[in-house]
Amino acid sequence: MAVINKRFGATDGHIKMPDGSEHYIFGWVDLTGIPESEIFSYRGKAQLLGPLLEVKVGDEVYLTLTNLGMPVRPDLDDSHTVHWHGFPNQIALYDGVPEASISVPVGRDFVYYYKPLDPGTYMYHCHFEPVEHIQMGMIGPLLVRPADYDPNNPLYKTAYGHGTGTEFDREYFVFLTELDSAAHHQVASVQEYDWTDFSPDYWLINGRSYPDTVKSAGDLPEQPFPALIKANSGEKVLLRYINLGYQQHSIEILGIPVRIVGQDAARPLGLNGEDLAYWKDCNYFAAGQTLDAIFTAPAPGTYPVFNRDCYKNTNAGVTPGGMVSEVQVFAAGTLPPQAGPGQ
Amino acid sequence: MTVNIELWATDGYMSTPDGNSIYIWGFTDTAGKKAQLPGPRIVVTQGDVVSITVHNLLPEATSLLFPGQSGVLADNGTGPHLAEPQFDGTGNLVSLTDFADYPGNPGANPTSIRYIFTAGNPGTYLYESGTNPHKQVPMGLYGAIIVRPADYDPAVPSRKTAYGENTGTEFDREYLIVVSEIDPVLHSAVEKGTDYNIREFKPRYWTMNGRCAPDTMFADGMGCLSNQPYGAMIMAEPGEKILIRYAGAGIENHPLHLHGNHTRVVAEDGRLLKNGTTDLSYKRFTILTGSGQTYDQIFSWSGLGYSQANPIPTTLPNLRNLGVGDAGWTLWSGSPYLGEKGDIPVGVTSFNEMGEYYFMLHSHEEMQITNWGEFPGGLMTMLAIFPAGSLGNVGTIE
Amino acid sequence: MTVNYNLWAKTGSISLPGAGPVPFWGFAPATEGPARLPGPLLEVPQGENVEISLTNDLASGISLVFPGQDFVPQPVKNPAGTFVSYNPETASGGTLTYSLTVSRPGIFLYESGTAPEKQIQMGLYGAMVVRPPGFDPGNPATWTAYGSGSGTDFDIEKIMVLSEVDTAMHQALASGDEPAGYKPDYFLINGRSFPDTLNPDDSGPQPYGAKVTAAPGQRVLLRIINAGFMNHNIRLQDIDARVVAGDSRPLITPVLDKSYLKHTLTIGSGQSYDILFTAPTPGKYVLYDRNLNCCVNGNNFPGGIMTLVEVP
Ligand SMILES: [Cu+2]
Ligand SMILES: [Cu+2]
Repeated sequence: MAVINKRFGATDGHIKMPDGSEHYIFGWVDLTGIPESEIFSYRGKAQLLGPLLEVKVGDEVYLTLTNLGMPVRPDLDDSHTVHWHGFPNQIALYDGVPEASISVPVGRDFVYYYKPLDPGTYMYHCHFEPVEHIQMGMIGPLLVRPADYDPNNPLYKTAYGHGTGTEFDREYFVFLTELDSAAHHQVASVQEYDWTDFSPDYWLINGRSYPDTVKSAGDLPEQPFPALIKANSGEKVLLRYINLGYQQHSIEILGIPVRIVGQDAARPLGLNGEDLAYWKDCNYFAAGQTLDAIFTAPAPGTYPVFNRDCYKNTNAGVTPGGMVSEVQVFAAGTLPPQAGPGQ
Repeated sequence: MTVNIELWATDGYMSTPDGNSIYIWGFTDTAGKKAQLPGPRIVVTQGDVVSITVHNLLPEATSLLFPGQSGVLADNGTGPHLAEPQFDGTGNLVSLTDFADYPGNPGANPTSIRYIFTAGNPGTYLYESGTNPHKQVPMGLYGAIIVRPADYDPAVPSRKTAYGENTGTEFDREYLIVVSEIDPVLHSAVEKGTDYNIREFKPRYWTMNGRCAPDTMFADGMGCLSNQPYGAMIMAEPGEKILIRYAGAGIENHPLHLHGNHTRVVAEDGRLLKNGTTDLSYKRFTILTGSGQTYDQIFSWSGLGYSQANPIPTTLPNLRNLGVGDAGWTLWSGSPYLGEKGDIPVGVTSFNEMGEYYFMLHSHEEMQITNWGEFPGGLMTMLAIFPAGSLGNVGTIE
Repeated sequence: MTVNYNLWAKTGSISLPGAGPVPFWGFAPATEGPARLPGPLLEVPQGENVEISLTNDLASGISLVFPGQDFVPQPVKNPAGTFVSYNPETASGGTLTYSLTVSRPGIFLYESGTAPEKQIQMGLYGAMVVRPPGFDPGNPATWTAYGSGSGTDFDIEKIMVLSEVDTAMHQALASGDEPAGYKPDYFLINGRSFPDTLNPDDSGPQPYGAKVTAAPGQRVLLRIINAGFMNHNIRLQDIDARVVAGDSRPLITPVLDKSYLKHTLTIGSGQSYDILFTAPTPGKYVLYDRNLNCCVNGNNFPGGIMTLVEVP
């Protein structure tokens, strides 16, 4: 149990797609530990996805949201919030829904408090005019470790706790969103956009579309989460699927079935403890849902990851692109232990 | 026992919060009245023989399907027979089931039809048109059926259940949310009798119980929503067992996300998720409510016990430093504590009654929580947690 | 043991109600005779080694992949390191043999792993059914989907491959043009749109009917696999159906019965479900897509993903 202090800034910025196009975004920056005098240098440096929030059951999490404003759109004085999506028994004040509590205006801070109770895969996002702020990029991954989590003890390096059959050697996010470039363009150029016209032309995993998905973290500093999945043959890999787009997606890994051991941050257990975990080739899931999937890395090789709705494997109509990545399996012992989620 | 229900299939208008009035087709249970959206709720008890007569006042044939029921009989004047898909003289399918003809059709088939079935299983069901359903269902010819278990007794807690005693489906309050979409171009084409291309289907409004947010949060039977009688606000007290019945009456699947807590899905399509003693229920924070499907779930919200005596661990900033009521109104009480009210900035209207908490319930395909692009709207409502003992007889369906 | 198949990929033409001939690319089981939509049904006993020799009579390279099967894909990349195809390509005019061992029973797709957003849409997909040990086609007493104890004994089996056709995209690709996005106007079971789904099997380019005929009391197994890009919500009207497998994993095992009743089932792209029901009283029962705008041909109802279960 630890007290965790984090500070996230809300601001704007730009991301790139593999075809060279640049897109205006809203998003988060990590201000944790940044001296007060320097925080304004983070304006306009939003990243997609937002920083990883990694906490443990029982932690006390103090998350300060600082609204840095939008340097590209100084006219836009929108407030922001943080909504911890799926967090049980929250009180309205910390739930981040402006209509039901408060929002954070430009230049202000607010401290959210969370005490995570249940392990699993979650997401966080701004809930202020969510149709705009989520699509514009105010989203991020959130994982809650079980209370007994110990990365140095294989029996306790688990998704849901010792004895739950969720041990893993490596873990990766498969965080799905779409990008409607027309919407981003309209917002950047201070034009109205009819959100019911939403029609994405890029489909992203971890804020990137293929082939950027398989590039390294440093190649796209504003999109710091690669989607390349690497493992040594025989290792257990935990995939944390998150859908924070506005569409339903069907994700397949050619040659690798996965076992679903968690959904929406809950183990699939019946009321009497029935183990309802199951195997799947294609995971079809919707916005606002998460899945925890485990597989044992098979023979060395490259296993394509893609959206079975294959027209989502394009960048503005050009193939290959979109929601495509790879699982790269190496001979046993090739890769050193994983340094952290997604690495 | 036998339950006799009469429905008139007719037209009418629904209103949207942005001031639109949209032509609909739908059902009413009162002769001479306009259609309502969705159709009248039908509540029966397992074992009942349900007899539903449809009188067709529309300009084309119509019918009813009862997904989840079996052995449905139809009687259009020649006596009850198995309801079946209907073909014309040349073998073309004209309806997915026996239908009522429309007034003035030279074919002169009866314009009323009776369907009869025995409500064999408790649960949540839809009734919906089986004639030109790609048009008639989106136009509004749908409604919900709740079948109570045979041993249902709201006065006995162990028998106030969704699926019967000892099925683990006891509840204190229950709510029904029927979701659908509205493409105004379809509705106006039907009103004007002009062509409509189903391939161009593009919803601009999304409905819960026939209403778009924020109208979803108003009570049942609001005068200004005379053809949309059902509210969709969920009200509960801490620790109560709340049954929410989702029914997907539209064409799309909708991921409905409830803030506040996970729910446990205990039944799909009116079938308990149990095989003997094996329990297959599951917890979710977002339920993909598939079109034509139903999901019954039970949850409770207990909170984390904050009160003045056990205060929240952060200090609330001065109101000047917070955004409250950005839209001119708020549901916030001004206090972090359940049952208490605090300051709300001058000029902001608070709809908070007694310090209750509000949590959003909405589609996570976020364009669906707009009314033609304007947030807030569409597939959105609130879960309101009221202080213990403060809610009267709300959350009942009759 | 090894089971050998020969497939020819070629251009062809399908007929859809209310549309003129629609060009497509498909697999043919013989060098003469038309390509089929879906490709020929491959039926293999579990444990066999399957070798498929693919001859490519199309203008561009194609490949075969086996989703859900135990195989190690050998993706082909360009010099920049991006995918060209998910498995080795059969060049235009060439022949290549693909092999895999079918390690578990069930219903699977085989499909192109090259530019799938075009090639799968154009029709380069088919179904493979893998039979459990003990399955004897000549002995109905041995007919199960997943072996004894899996609760999948059946008398009648119907495979239903779902998909969509964007006729504008087919026309564009057939004439070498770039399509303008994906917007299907036809919705198919086994390569046919209603009412063609009701016609019996034939030897044309859309050889597989989709009507189910069963006597009262017979156990009917529907094996529905979604080769399209959209999700489909399959409804069996007025019949209580039990979902007994998903993605070819039986839900009933000796320790746990996870099967469940469902009247309308959402099937995502690439997914499969096995559904079992007992044929009820004589009558006609409709099976259709509750995504009601997939029950049309172009703009006309009825059509699309719709068929009948007939109990005489
Ligand atoms: Cu925001
Ligand atoms: Cu959310």
